[in-house]
Amino acid sequence: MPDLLLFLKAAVFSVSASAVTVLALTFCRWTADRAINNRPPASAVLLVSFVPGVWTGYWSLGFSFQWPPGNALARFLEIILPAIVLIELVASLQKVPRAAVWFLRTIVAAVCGRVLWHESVYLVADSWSGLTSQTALVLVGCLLSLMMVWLILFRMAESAIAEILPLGLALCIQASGLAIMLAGYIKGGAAAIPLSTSLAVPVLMLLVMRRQCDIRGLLGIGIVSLFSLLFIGRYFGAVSSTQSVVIFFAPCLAVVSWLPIVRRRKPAVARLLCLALISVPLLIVLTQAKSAFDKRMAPLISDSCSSILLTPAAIAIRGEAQP
Amino acid sequence: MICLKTLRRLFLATAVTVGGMASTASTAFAADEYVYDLVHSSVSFKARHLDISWIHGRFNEVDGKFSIDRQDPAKSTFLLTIKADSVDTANPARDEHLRQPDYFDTKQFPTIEFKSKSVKAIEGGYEVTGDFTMHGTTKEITITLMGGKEIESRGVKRVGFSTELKLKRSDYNFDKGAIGPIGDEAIVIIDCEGMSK
Repeated sequence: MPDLLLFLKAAVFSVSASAVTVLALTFCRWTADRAINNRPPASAVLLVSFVPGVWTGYWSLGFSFQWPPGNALARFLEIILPAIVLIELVASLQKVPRAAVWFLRTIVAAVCGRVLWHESVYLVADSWSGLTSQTALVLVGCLLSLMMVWLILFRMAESAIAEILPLGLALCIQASGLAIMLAGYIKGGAAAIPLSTSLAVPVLMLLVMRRQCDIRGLLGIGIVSLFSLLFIGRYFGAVSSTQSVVIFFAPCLAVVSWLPIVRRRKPAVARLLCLALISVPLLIVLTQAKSAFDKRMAPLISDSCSSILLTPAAIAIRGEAQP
Repeated sequence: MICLKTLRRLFLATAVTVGGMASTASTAFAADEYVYDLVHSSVSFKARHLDISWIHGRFNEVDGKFSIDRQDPAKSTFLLTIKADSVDTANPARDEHLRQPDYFDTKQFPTIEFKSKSVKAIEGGYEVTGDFTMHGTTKEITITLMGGKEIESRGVKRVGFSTELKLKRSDYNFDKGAIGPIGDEAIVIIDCEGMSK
């Protein structure tokens, strides 16, 4: 059973760190000049405030980082996540050619699966890349799916509902975390908490402050994070392929904003409609995952059975003896 | 022509003699080699639950080979490979959970291995020092293998060993969050029988 108090603490720490960074960056000025254009661009604020949010969240969850990373989750947090944050920071600089940025993004999308599979049972020893024709095909499929979702969301980032997209991604990341936990991989699921809060908080704060911002950098980070978590859940945990695919493509449901019937509505209504639509498949997947969990895992945490799933905090809440 | 025939015979005779000598030498001095007999062996473990009782389990798929040099025990070698995926605690849901990355992470670390580095004969068995690799972490450990008596049954030479070792999961990089209700320390009990090839 997951340690709910620990997860709550991680969420609070992550939210606080992101919020403080957004406030600090929003009101700071490059020079003594009071002009509004002397402030850091909102897109850079979004990207920079993501980092302390995530780091504080993982620190409060008790994640330790070692080099070289020993498992898929560590490789995501120590290689893939820093790489995509760095690329999106570079992309936020106006002088960098777009083609170069897309080249770097494609490289991340192409190597992501291979990096996560590193030294696992999915790779064979007697091949240079470690891939068989079947695993290579899986990675090509992953690359195409990742690039497709990336392009669709980037296209929508220019529409009136743009600000809702990182929030939709944060919802999907949180749903993937819950699905991973319900499938039995608690630490993998917990990894979603700092990611989703650090994606959502800066966007929400800038929305409240009514600051226009380019959310594409944050979208890139969110898409790669969502893909990596689901990949880990599918290939190292017990999340099913169907659940992974449904959660991964759920943010694309925001394309309904292109329909004239939605486009005619006020932006706030269109945003809420998109967010509600994204939530529907997530709720279906989570209901199905919960029912599978109840069938498979619940006997382990019932009072009559010995349990390996109970954490000390959960035992304390239930009033049982501490180990 | 005759000379060539004689030479060929001489060469063959020499080859046969040298080959025979070599095979005799290997029988007399080389170590006896055995393979792990899965049918008559077991690798089991137990760990404390809530510090009040023990949870028992076993690994169903184990492979290994060992060579025993009775003249020079230091030349003996022991190798044991356990398939982590074969963990069995008589509860399929719990086994599934144990295979996940919170515990054994069997997709990332499919095997648990012991490879000997030095062997010393002691009374009633051998003291074996070697590398124990579990969950991607290798540590040098010393185990006391009791037994080693060889018998011949139905034309197959058999030798048996038993050992018990205590391991701390925290030493092998297991997730700290998963150490709590299940004790950090696990006792591994190995009873194995080897068959000569």
